[in-house]
Amino acid sequence: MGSVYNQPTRAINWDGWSHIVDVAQDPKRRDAVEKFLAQADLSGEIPAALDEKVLAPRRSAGATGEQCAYILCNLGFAALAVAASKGSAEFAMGCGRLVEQLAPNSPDLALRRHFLSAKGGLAVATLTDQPHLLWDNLAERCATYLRALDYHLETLPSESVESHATAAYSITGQFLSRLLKNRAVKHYAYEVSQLIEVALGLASRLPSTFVSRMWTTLMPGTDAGVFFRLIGAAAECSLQIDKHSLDHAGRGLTYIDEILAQSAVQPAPDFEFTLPIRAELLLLLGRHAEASEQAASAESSSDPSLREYAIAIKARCHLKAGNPQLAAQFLAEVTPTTDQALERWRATWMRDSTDGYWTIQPDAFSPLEDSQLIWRLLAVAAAVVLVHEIMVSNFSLEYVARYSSAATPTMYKFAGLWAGMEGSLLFWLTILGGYVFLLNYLNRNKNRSLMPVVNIVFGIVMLFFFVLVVFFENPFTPLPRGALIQSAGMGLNPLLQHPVMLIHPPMLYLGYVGFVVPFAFAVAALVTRRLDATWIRSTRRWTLVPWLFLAVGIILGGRWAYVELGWGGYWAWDPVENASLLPWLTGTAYLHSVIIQEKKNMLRLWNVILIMTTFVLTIFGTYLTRSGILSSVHAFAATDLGIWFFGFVVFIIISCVVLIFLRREDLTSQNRLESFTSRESGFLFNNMIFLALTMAILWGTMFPLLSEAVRGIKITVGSPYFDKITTPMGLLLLLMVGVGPLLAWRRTSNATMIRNFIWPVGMGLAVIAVAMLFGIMRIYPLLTMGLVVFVAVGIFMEVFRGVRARRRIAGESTLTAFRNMVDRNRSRYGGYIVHLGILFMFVGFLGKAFSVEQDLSLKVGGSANLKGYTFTLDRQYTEVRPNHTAFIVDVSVTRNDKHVTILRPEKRIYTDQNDQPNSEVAIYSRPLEDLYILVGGIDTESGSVVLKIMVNPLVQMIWLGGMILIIGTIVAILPSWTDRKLREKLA
Amino acid sequence: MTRTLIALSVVSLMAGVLWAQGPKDALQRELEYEIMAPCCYGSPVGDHDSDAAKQVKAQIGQLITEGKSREEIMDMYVAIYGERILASPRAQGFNIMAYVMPPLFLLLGGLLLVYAINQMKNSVPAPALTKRKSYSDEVFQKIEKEMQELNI
Repeated sequence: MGSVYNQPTRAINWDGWSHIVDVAQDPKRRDAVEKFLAQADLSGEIPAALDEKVLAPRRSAGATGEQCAYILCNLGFAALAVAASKGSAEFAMGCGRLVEQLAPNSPDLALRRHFLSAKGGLAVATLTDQPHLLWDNLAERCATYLRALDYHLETLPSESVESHATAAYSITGQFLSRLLKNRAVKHYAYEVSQLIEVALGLASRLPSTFVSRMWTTLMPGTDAGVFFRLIGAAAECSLQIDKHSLDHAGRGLTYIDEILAQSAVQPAPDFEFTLPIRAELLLLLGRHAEASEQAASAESSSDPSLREYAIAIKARCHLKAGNPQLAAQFLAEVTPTTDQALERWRATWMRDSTDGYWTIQPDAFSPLEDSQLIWRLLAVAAAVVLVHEIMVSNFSLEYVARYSSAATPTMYKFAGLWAGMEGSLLFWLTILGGYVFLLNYLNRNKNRSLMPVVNIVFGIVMLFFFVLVVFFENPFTPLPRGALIQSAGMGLNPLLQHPVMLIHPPMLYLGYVGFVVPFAFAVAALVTRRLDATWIRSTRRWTLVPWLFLAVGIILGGRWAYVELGWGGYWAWDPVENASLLPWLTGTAYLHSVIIQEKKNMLRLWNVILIMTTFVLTIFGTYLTRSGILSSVHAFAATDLGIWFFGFVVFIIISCVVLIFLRREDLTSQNRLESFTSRESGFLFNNMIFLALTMAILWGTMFPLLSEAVRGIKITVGSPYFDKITTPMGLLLLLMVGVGPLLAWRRTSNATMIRNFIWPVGMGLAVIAVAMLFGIMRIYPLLTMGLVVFVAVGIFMEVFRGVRARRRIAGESTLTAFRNMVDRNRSRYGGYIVHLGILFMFVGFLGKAFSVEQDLSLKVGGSANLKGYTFTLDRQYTEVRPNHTAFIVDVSVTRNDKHVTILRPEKRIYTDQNDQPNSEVAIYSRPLEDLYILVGGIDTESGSVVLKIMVNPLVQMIWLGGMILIIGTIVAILPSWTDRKLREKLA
Repeated sequence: MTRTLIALSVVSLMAGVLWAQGPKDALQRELEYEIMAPCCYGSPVGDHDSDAAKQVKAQIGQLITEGKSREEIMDMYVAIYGERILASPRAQGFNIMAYVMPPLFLLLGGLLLVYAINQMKNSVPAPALTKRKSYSDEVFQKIEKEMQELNI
């Protein structure tokens, strides 16, 4: 425990350090400090208690933010000095983060902060059960420390540079030493090679006398040969980096030769581990004979694992030389049977012998990646050609004739791309191609061990859609001979001729298709057994983006239904609407539960299952839309492709189950929860409700099929059912939106609980009481009001506390404090903004309970009253337009004899759609209510017009909530401004 | 054009005759959202803009005027069109499953979660944690003393 801190005086020599070491060595004082540190959770903002007890007294005595930062640094150093538990090491890292908040611009403090971050990270990795989960993160911390030192090289006094360099190289050396001991370097090849590039780059810029003094200081210590290890690790890494492997192999060889030259001068005890690496590098460079010779010299090693490594290399030398028999013979000589030999060969070469990660050679799949590029280009080209054909009205193509007409307005012609099945599939494929291209481009130097598998998953999904487009639903099929040729085309369905329809389907597609990315990463993590939080961190934005697209698609769908379908509602619980909601719900659950894996390394299996479910639901959604198995208002493009989609869904489910089963041991994580009243539990309950809601909606959606299968009777499960089932669950979810953020991580004490909940609960109850006084007695509206206020007050308190702490501590103005607070923790505060958007939407849903509706039959000049408004029919007339004839009525609206507006609902007859009638709604939106009018028909005998009039309160809140949700998600997606500036400075 | 106007007139005439006029009572509105449009079964007659839907709405109004109860009217439509005409299944026979399962999902999920959290709680080593309650003044005083020693 704490062994890495046995040489603190050597690592650092700032003023005060030795005092702290004294503190650490006195058991009583050490206990006190340790106790204090263990209580602190510095993962977020500066805790009020720390601020109040330690910083506030000094600030009141005139200490600046920078001085406060030094105090925190010293607390962090003390924590490192006593680091006997993970808690105190985390505290040190937390101090580093807080220092950054207090004094972002001081070079000295910046380096101290990076020291705390790197050394704290090393301590956490030492004291945790699963250190390998932190290694990539630690490599980044070490590299940042070294980069920061490099950046401040000119401005810092030389003694400070020396002490920091010694500390940084010591931490880096200890880290690499651990990796080497675990033979894990190759799994962090990219991160480690970056770290070594930085370390060697800095070493070349440091004064040479100082460098040799530093090596002498570091080398004879407990971690002897740090420098050699460092270079050896670089060589080993060079084997693993794709694309430039030959360059790296050459460099690796130079490093190793340097080691050998140095070891002749100053023998290092364990340089021999570089020998088989040298052999492998030679093999890679095509120098087979030398490689074989080098491997032979390593065969005599006393270390059995090195010996085994050398044997494997030798066998590979024979293989490369085109002598497989010789290879097998050689292996048979050193192992009793050929089977065993082959097994050993497989064990050593195909898999790492210690931790069983699969080592996939990234270059092995480059032909696949290249062929995917061609697929992508072909898909995009096909989509462009189809759009062109629609635009020029080439009605010799069946698809163009069916979904557009010469009279269709140009902008709606474009929507023809996704109006039918064939175009939709092609559009899907194009979007997938776009995602794959972007993902590969952005990951060209990252996640190289995952990307081959990710691309295989993409390949399978793409193949499926390509097969459908090419063999079953080809949009370029010519109009059959003898078909009744519509010389002007059949035109686009009038319902789809709305501006929202230009955005709603692409948004949904972008959402559906986008979930392929996190799914592919999850599969890759399972296949390669890299199931730490790396794949989750790598896909955070790749999940948020499709989630946002899906949300926007769903909201726009609601908006379209409201303004176009003419029934005054926005959500009908139609099977296809449900199909878009289901992956969004599981995706939302996933976005919440990954926070726990990132923070606590728990729920590995759960997160894999959630993202797989989300992806399956996106394909299932397409299946529902396309199969026509359920009656739906979205029957625009139903075809008989259902069986294919169903087959694909079954294939994905079986593959996922098998993969999870094969990797069940890697998916077990040590789940530790301290209390029910913790934020972790809050997240878990929220996940459970999301899943139950998803299951309930899925159950209701599929129940008609089940009923038909079991009883042979068709039934309908419509909105009254879903309203009944989902309203209580939705309110429960709303409750959890409020409760979650008010709970502390790990455990919430009773006092904190009372302090955090008293205001939100009090205000919520007060609002319910006031609503009851106003005569509202229905339970659901009352609960919704109370919960909305409860959640809103909770969010406000969180933000208020954060801003207040920053104002007090860093002396920032309210606006600056708010901006910096959000910028430094974008996912958290972006999440709160999204929650706020959801609240507005709930307020909008609440309005449904108070909407009123009336059917009126009016003659010109006649009027009627509804909810305080007077509606007068002023005139009725007909207009002939390019592809339809419109019967229009002017209805003037007054309230208390004051003019409000004139509404013009229309009844249209589409001439290019076999005279299909369609009602165009007229809506007058005010912030708190909408007036909604629709022409039902005209009684030609009496000359009266039948109007359906609705007054819908609070509907605007839904669209406003949607906009807030979009803003919040964008806040969470965008990178931190401060981090970006820092990275630019360090680059 | 003539064809269009004829079509418009026919649609309008039918609608004008069939569509119930004047304010709706609560039962009428409720039934309009409980009975599906028999043309496509895509949405309740209250939300649907088709002749068949308008006809059903008019019939409902008439049946209410004749003094028929909610159940009687619904039974009548089930007899004509089958169970599919109801917007939500009646909670009887096999259809009870539709209403029982969703709360069961929630209940089972909740119980499983409580069990899982208890399991996760039990896997925590007990010591140390019990001591971590809140920042005590005593600890702060000690820290304060250390700070003074360090001349911070």
